Amino acid sequence: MRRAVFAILGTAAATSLLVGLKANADPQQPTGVAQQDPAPGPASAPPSSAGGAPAGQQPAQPAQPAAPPPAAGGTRKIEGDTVGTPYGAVTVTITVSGDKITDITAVLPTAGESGPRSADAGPKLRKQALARQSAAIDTVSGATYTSQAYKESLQSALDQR
Amino acid sequence: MGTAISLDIADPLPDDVVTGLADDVFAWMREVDERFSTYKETSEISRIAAGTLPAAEASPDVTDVLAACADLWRETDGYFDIQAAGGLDPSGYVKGWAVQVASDRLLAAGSANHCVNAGGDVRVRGHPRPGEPWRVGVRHPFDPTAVCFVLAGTDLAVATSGTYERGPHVVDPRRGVPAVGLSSVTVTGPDLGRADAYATAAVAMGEAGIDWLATLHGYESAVVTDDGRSYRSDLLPQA
Repeated sequence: MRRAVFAILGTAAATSLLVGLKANADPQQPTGVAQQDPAPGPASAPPSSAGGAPAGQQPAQPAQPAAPPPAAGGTRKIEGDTVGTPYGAVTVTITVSGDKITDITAVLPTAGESGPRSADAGPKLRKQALARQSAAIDTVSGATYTSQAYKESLQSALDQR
Repeated sequence: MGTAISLDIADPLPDDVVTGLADDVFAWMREVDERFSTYKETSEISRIAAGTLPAAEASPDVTDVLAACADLWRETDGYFDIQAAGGLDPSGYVKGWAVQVASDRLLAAGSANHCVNAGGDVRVRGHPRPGEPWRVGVRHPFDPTAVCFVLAGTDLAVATSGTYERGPHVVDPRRGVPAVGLSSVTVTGPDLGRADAYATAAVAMGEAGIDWLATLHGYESAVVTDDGRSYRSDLLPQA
């Protein structure tokens, strides 16, 4: 017993694939480098990343417990975690002098946007000739169909077998 | 706008049982539509977006979906973003998830051989004919009457995102402009919701999505660029 059934929902649960501009930051969920707090930085900086108590309830916390401040005028560099991005690995380093951040540098992929596509940049997809097939198939995967496009689609033809 | 849902139940079951299973699938998809549609003001998603339903009071399915979308947002470096344009639109995950749940329920109800396809998001299990795998074509982005990949599987999710039907409508959330570069991205793997979100994220990344897809674990991919180049991962289950 074999049966194909077909229906169109009047209003789609999921016709939209829109991915739009997100207003810059949800502080609960840092993304990428720009919003990544390079902490474990100076404890005197108010916590800005997830999990911290609301800043207002935590009056300026001196640096003593976590990291004793270096001698006056002392300067140190703190390297953040390396973050993977579609353009390559990015590492942010901050320079701290006393309890102030005096410099922030980021090591970016050297070849710009094509960085990860350089010869030996890790796993890649394999290139293959773009085929145009009409082989026997049971169903079709494709970008979201509108009901109009569905009527003209291969899947519609398959459903009418 | 509607989503076409095709269901193929290939089990040797009595007619009335098959009809009952099909009714359950369509009832589930309608229920998902009622609760998740961004086009219906009464859906839970619309009410959460409007501030009239606290997210904490939403149904468990809605809470689970929003949690999964938040995980995927992190996992895709922000490229899968349901807070598009300031609203709340989890559609890029919900359709695949709903089909995955429908297939899971079919399996639990005794159908080991079926194919569920909602708007091009496909979940297959078992065999269409004894001894044969399901054959899933990937629509050719430049020719609606042809396919450019043929995949085969007996337990497989296949999701495709692309720009060929609706134009460049997936926005690169970093730049705030419609993403270009990839006409069609197909992702296969065990879970259709994830596959759907990964495919959408790769389209949003543009050409950089090609290398990002290669880093996924347990999910294979096939890509056609705007200028007609074609790529696939080594383990893509091609027929």
